[in-house]
Amino acid sequence: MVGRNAKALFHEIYDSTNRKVLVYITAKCSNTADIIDIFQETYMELYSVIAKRGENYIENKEAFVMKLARQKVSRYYSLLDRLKAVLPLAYPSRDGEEFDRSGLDIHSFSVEDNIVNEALIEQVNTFLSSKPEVIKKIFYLFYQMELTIPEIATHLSMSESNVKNRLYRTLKELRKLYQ
Amino acid sequence: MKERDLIKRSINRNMPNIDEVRNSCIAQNAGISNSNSNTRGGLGKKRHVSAVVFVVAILVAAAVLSNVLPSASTYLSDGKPVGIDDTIDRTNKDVPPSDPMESVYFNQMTDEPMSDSKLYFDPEKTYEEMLTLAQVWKYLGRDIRPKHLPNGMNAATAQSDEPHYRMIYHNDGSVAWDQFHFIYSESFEGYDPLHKTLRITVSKTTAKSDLLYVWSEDMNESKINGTEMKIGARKMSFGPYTDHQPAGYYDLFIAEFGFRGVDYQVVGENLSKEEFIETLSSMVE
Repeated sequence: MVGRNAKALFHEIYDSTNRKVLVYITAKCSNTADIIDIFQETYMELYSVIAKRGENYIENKEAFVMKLARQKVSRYYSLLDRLKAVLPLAYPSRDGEEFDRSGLDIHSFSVEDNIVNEALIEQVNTFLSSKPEVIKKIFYLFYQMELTIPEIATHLSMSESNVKNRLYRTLKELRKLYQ
Repeated sequence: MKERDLIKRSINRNMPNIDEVRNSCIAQNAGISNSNSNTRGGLGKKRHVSAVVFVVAILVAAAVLSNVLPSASTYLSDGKPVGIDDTIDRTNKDVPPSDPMESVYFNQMTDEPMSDSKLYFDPEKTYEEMLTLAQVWKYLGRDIRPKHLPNGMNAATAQSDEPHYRMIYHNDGSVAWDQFHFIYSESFEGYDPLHKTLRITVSKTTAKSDLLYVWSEDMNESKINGTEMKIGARKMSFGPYTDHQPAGYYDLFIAEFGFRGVDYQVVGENLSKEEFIETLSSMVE
């Protein structure tokens, strides 16, 4: 059986790293549909290492988990597939086409309560699923992981204006669903 | 309801449930023994295991190379073979190969991750510039691309004259990161984990690579055209994963070496050993 200390260590590492790992996997995966599997496999491996090697094996906990996450992302895709995701060419710059963001308040826009239901949530999900991976990543990182625009730009190797433009363009389309 | 909450609830369906994953990890690993937990760090045992793995790898490599690749040697311009000497017992590392300038060892790669990451550059302390290919060659001192590629492989379109080769500098102007990637594949259409691909990474600075491949402590150095190299081999799994089982595995070869002031990392996927060695050979002529 796995020792109590191993479980405690797993909980400790899991609690302190899961957000950072999730951000990393979201930013680096080739397909956002794989995020759940890669995330789970990362921590399965962590638990396995702790159980097999003992609680003293891992020196730098965060670095170790991040390395596991990198391995898992790497093994999930071919090298070429992975590189396509990080090469600047994969995200053609649209910096020159500054998007008109007037009327698109990103932080305080409200949807009428009476139309918010499971069907609308499903609609939004379907809408976002139809978008390119880079837009999904931006939405995941902005809304789910609550990263700032500059942070997202750094993680995705894009300019801030590129991130903003994609976010606002998609928001504008999305609002047609509930306006 | 705030739009942010609506979108978050929608996205939440595609993200892992933190508590479920936690419980799942614990439940699925419940049967794993921690009998090794008394091996603090496990270094002594690790070395022993590494030695066994190394010997097995060498035996397997020798058998494979002698039986499967009798013509695996490539040749220098003077006709000397580069590569595999199947007459030498490589299990004894104290016995040098008959020609110390011409030897190739495919070391079995370990499966343990490295413990640190350096691929982060504080935007407050660094800045980046995008170089053209010509600027990259000027910086490196020459065109480093291989003169020989396996049949059917072509360069990625990224190797154009567009300035998309990233360099990162410290604010004082010194180089912080200078890795350049050159990618070759037999196809750039769609995703196929079994496509032949070749990725060459070069750098003039001390490697700060976010390496995914870990060398055994007991690995053997190879020499091709007189250049010392580390050459490794391993199987890589690929998705989609069903119940955590991969769809399959492919061969990955990796070589690391320095040549004329430039550090190289060459990774081949789905290549034969012969193709990989021939490509390496053409890079160190």
